[in-house]
Amino acid sequence: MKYPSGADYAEALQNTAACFRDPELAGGTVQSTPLGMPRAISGNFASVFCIVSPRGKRYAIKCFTRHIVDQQDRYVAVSTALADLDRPWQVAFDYQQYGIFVQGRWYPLLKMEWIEAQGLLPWLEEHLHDSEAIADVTAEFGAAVSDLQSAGLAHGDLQHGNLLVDRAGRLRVIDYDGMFVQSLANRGAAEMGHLNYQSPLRTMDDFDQTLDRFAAWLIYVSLLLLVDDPGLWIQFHDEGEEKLLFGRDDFVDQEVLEALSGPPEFDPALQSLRSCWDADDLAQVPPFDPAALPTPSEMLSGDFVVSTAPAAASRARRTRSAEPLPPVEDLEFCGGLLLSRTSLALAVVGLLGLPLAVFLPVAGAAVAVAGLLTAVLIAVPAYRSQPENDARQSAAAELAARRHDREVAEDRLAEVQQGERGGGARGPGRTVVPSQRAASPSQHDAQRLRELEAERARAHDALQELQSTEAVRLRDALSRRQETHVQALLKANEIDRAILLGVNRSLARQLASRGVFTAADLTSVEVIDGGGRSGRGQTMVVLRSGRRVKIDGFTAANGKSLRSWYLGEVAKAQASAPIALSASETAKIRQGIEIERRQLKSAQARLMKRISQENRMAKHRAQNGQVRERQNDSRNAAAAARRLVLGAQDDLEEAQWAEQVAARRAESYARLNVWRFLLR
Amino acid sequence: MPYTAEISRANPTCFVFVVDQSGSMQDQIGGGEVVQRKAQVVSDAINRLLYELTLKCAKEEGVRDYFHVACLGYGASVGSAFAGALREREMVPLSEIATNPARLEERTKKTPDGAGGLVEQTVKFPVWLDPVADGGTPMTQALAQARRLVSDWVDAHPSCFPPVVLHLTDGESTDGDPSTATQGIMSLLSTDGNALLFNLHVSSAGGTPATFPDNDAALPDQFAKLLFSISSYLPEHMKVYAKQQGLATSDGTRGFVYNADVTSIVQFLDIGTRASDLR
Ligand SMILES: Nc1ncnc2c1ncn2[C@@H]1O[C@H](COP(=O)(O)OP(=O)(O)O)[C@@H](O)[C@H]1O
Ligand SMILES: [Mg+2]
Repeated sequence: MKYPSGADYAEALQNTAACFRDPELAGGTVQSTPLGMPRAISGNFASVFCIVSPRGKRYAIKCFTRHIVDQQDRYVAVSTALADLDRPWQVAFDYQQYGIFVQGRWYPLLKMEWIEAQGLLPWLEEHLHDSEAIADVTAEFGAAVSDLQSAGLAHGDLQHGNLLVDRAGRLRVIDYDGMFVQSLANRGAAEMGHLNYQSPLRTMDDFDQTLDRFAAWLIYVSLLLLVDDPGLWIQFHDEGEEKLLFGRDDFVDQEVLEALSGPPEFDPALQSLRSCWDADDLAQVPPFDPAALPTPSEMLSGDFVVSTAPAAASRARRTRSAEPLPPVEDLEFCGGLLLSRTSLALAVVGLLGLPLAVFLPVAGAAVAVAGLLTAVLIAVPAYRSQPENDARQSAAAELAARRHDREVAEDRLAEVQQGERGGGARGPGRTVVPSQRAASPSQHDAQRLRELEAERARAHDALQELQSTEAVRLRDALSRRQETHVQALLKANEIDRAILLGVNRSLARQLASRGVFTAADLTSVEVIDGGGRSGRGQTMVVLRSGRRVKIDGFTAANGKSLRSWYLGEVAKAQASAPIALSASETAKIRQGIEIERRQLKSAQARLMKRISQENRMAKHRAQNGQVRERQNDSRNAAAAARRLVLGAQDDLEEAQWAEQVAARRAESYARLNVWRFLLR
Repeated sequence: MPYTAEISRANPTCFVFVVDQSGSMQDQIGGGEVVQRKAQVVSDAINRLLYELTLKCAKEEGVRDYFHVACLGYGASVGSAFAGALREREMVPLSEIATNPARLEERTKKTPDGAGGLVEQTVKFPVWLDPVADGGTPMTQALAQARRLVSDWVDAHPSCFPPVVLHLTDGESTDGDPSTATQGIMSLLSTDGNALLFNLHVSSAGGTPATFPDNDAALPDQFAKLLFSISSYLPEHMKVYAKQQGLATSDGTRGFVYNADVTSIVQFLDIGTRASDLR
């Protein structure tokens, strides 16, 4: 059956009153793009639209663009199975066989709650440095797979596009088109899932509850590794790739596992991947069970040991605010009572002089002046000399000093707060980008790189040598060929037929008795003049085997003629020997060399690739160490800044307290004025 | 196996439309109620396909650049056929296509109401390309230019899903036999196979419309037969999808459409890496 296309659906959705029969959808509003066209999210089998019902509820409408075998039966079965499961990662749906009217026909649709969420890839890219969030999602993914597994279900197409992370950071698993449910067992698979997540061994005939194992391990392990080391994303995921850390090629050549090995916490995870990827048969892929792996939270706490701010913050702080301030005291002068009383009396006398002056101007004025004057003259020095005056002055000075301290403490606090805010940009929350410089590989890595490099150098030398090897082999082959030629000719010359030489038959028999039948059986003839019993000399021959034998009955003269015959035969044979290899012989040698060259070359290429990969990983590991170091550094710096702020706050509080105490004291003394001195 | 490469943002492919805008496209085809100018038919087809592509590549954050698209017109001249903001652009990333139609047209459509009658509906139709009919038919020149675009593309993206060229015409070239030019296009290679050339023939010669036929027996004239013969064979997985849509396919099935709808080719494309041996 031909299904409508995405654009067909988008067009029909421009009139929701006409295209739906579901009352919540009919007349609803389609969420649209800035251009005002219905906004779609498409997968390979469907386009999904967001409809806001007339009553304001949001729904996701999945409109199918490709035929799925037995779709309705499948959805009914899946719906029943999932209703029993009822887990938080599920997305409730309602399959409507006659859901949407497009170009004169009803087509099925899937009505779901709308999930405000991001797909796993964009979400990961935004949250790479939020390892805690990744750890949560990893754990939730593990739980979702376990839920399915223990219910005897399989999703069938676990992959990034079908894993959403909602606003609250919770994982949601969508797209149940290809799900395995026991009651569908004999229907067979509806699809084969995403190539970058499925075993190359999976076929359309594989449809049972083990369907998810491969993808589940792959996704779980990828996420788990990312919790430990977000830098792996940069290393193993090229921008725009439709995968997490691993894709189909990796399942086959597995070099990536080599490249990842190192951190001990990775071992069990990589081991699980290896057992999936090595399987010769889908049945060998182990059931999903992450128990042998570190949990996401263990991965998280891993080696991120940093001294953080909370420890500093927990330092016991004095809480001055709870302590009452000393009261403003009602102080009195202690000494000078006599003098103050005297001057008071004199002042009274002086004052009495004033009314007297009405009657006796001179005497009255004299009394008043004298009285008041002496009163003042006595009171002022007496007052001045009181120790309380000094105390008051020192209280005022103290207050000024405390006020200054408080101002200094305020400035200091402002300063360290500023510092903390400024330093916040380097704080733990910020993305730490690995720097390209100065990340030197660890000893272990460096050692391994050196070994690889040496191996590569050997391959390189062997390649260089191959050049001269070719010449040597060609030369050797030629001389072998010449030698064979000569030997063949020499062999053809039987000695007893060599009458020309004057070697008679009996002598020839002597030679034969030594195993010399043809010139080919000799390698040289030695003649000893004048020796032997007859004094006519002797003849020795060196056989092919290298043995030197005396030939009985041979005189020196016989030997000489044998030798010249032999040398002549050799010379003749050599003269007719080939001076070059035949084209086919040369080609054969060259081909042999070429094969060796290719083997060496590809070994070298493999090594180079391996080296560059190892290099990248080593650099990456080193950088990662650096990143962590820097993360730790910045965390520590942030903690230090926090500590400074807290300290400054304490100091300020202390200074404020001291100022207030000083103010109280100053206020108390301020009351001790001259009137108080007199009028007590 | 060819035609299995992943189409992804990391490994995008391209779509090149080559559209006949010559004077003969002024002619009308069809009969009865639906009489349309050929120029309108082909521009509608391309606009529809462009919209289809943008929807197919729409994800929650917007349209992804799984494809880059060029649109060459030939008639009075040969060059980019985009109107509006994309005027004169050659290879345009799909996300830019999505946000830059020249305009949205309001169109009234008569659609079946499900009860045997017809209802009129107004729908918005995004337009990137205007119907044009003017001048000669420099088909060969335009196809050579398409070849250059595709060639540049495969040089820059050697492992992409093979580019798709869709040529829309009424079939009467005025600058010679296009076979050499089309051979040139189909001989371009990525590591995943040869570039694909599809032809949509809009013709007033009559005869039965045909969608991806496997022989030319029923085609009415030599133009249709020629265009059939210079169309690529449908790759296996596309045949599977064609079959799912109820079309008969065989070894000889070619990417040729005669007076019929061509939008289904978008449904033949798999985004991302998918196992394509579906039932
Ligand atoms: N209930 C939903 N709420 C929000 N978005 C959804 C919902 N269902 C699907 N989507 C979005 O639509 C996309 C395609 O849906 P999916 O069911 O995976 O279709 P396909 O079978 O074509 O892969 C998903 O990747 C997701 O972004
Ligand atoms: Mg999906």
